[in-house]
Amino acid sequence: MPSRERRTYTCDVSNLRKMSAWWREWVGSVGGDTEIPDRGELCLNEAVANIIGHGGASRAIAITFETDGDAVRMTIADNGAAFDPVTYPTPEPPATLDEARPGGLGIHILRTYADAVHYARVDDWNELTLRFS
Amino acid sequence: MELIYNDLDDGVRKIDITGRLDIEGADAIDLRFTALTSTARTFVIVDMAGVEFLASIGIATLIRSAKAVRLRQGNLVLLNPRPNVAQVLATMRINQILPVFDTLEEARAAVRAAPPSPV
Repeated sequence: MPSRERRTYTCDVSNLRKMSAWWREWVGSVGGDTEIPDRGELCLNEAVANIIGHGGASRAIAITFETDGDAVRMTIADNGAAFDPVTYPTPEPPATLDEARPGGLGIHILRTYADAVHYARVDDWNELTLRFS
Repeated sequence: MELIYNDLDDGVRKIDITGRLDIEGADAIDLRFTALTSTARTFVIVDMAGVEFLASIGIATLIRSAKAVRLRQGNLVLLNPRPNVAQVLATMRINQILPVFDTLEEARAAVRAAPPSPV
């Protein structure tokens, strides 16, 4: 059954776990692949952590979950400074501990765990859409 | 988040982490975890069985301490992560720089062996 839910949060770390809980509840209600809840939760965390950590003067984060046939789509929008994680250059995961630098894996996780990632700048909002199938 | 440590009789320190290693969780343990891995005991096993969720910020916490331990000629390995956490470690190839073991015996043997990669 098609489903679409949208919520808006303030740009605050304390909201991350509320978002995770809502995602779990929603994706559980629409069924689907057993890996999607874990993959989606990880991507949601990384995307929002990125906004909180690097989003400049972000004031609000609007999140939409919706079904798309057998897939689900997650759109994370924020009204902070423009930032496109789709084209942002990220290093490959390190091969040795010496090469490893703490941090920098979040965008790599997004690109790896979502089946499709799309970014658009719409009316001063960043819109990041992740698809899981 | 909860951190418990045990100093084993072979000089190995075992640290059990429980909870979610997201921003809040990593913030909650960062100082204490760094302190616990910065002592004279440079062989550290991090028991991940209680970690429900691992985000990149939690990986950063582990890597930061592992690098500090390695600089002191020590070693840090991971023990018994849950399937969802093990998958993140494998997908991001972190298990190639922070070895992961299923049993405490394997982890104890490995943590005192030569480091798996040069500093």
